[in-house]
Amino acid sequence: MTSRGYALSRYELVRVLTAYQGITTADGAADGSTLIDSTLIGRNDFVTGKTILIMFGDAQDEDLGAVGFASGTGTITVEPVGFSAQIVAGTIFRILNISSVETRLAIIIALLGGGGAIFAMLNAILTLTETGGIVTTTGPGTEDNVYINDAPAGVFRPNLVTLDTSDLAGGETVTVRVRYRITAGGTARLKGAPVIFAGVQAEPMKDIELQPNRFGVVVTIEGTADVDYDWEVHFEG
Amino acid sequence: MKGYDNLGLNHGIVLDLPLREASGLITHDIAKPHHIATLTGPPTWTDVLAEGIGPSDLGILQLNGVNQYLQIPGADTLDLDFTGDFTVAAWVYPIYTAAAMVIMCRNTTGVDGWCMFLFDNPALGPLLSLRTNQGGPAPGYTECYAAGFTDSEWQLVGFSRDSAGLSATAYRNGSPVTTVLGPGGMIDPVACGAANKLLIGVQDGEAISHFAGYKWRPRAWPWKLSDVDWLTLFALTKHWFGVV
Repeated sequence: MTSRGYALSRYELVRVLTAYQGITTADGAADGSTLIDSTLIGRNDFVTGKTILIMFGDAQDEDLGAVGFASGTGTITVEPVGFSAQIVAGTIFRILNISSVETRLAIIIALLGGGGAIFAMLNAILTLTETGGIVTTTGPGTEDNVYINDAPAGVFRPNLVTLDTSDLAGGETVTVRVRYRITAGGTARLKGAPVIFAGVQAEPMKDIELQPNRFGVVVTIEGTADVDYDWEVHFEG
Repeated sequence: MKGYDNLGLNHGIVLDLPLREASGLITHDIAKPHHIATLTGPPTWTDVLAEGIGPSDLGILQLNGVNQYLQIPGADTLDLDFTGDFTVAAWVYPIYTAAAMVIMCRNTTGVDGWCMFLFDNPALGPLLSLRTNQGGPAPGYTECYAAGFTDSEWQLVGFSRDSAGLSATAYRNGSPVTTVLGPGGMIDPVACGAANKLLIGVQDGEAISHFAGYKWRPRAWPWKLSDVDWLTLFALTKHWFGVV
């Protein structure tokens, strides 16, 4: 036997949500933008903002939000474009207690925030971000962290660490190391040979290029004690 | 790719601690001032998923409500010495273990500066409060509060403070919350200068009102975030916590 569950459920929903049911008493605008029910003449405007459902005729089962109500004529104006056909006299319609504004807002909110479809996509786009600081070397035998992202929440792209070695004097050295972790909970391991800078640097700004990562990256320096290094990192994350 | 500073609500931001380090005793500010916050206690680095309080691996800090907090020296936080409009915000997962738990402050109570804190009011339930200190006759501060800042739940909380209106509006999860102003409204705080540290998770004096629970990304602006800004802030970050 064919299930009538859906049809019955829809009918019950419409019935429960119906604030008013009427029959148009005159032809509405030819473009389908209005309908007229003289029974509504003199009524308060309980119509605007609600949803109009056409029950009969060429526009049967179509619904649109009511954007205006003329109490003097019983004319209801619906959203622009209107119904697909003129609502002629004798058409059964219902005014539903569903705010058309709220309905559309709900859709917009679902897209933007509630369901998060658009923001979810935006959030998945990496953001170019920057930070920095100053590191004072402890001394030989100790690696001091310059830039560390030890447990990123997800894939990100550290681009570049810039290290200012202008405080490095003659006879002083600094060694730069970069480590990556490539498995969850794994060990951050050295990648590439450590880079050593010794003495006064004619070009003191040093670039340390980094690679995309998901599980952690650390840039450290080790060198003569009490030398200050300004640093800056750019990353997309 | 998009740029951090190209997002309208990041214009002029003076504090943004996303807690990306996940280890060590300092954390870096991704706002232009490059503040460096020191972990005192220290709080525990962990992540949302590991703590069973959300769906992501986002790094957060756990504070024990006893002796753990973050601090930045007063001399380094003059840009947070707000005396007009300002906004403060943070994601918090409070576990109420004390009547008052400070989220963030830069003040001397009753003298100068500002303080945002949670207060578990026996009659009204958990409140979010903002205090601005002016000195003078006791108590030396003006205060406002809003209700509904529940225990053991992730929530984006904060205040937009309106200097001209002598008011402030509390926000929870991107929406304004009915905010009760004390007598006289919210008067501009007196500047602290370099005298007061920025403290995250403890009251001035660093001895009481420790925060218990989890925190992520305390931020501050020297201007008043709008309703739309707050909604944006919420929509951009809520997914980490599974908050809808």
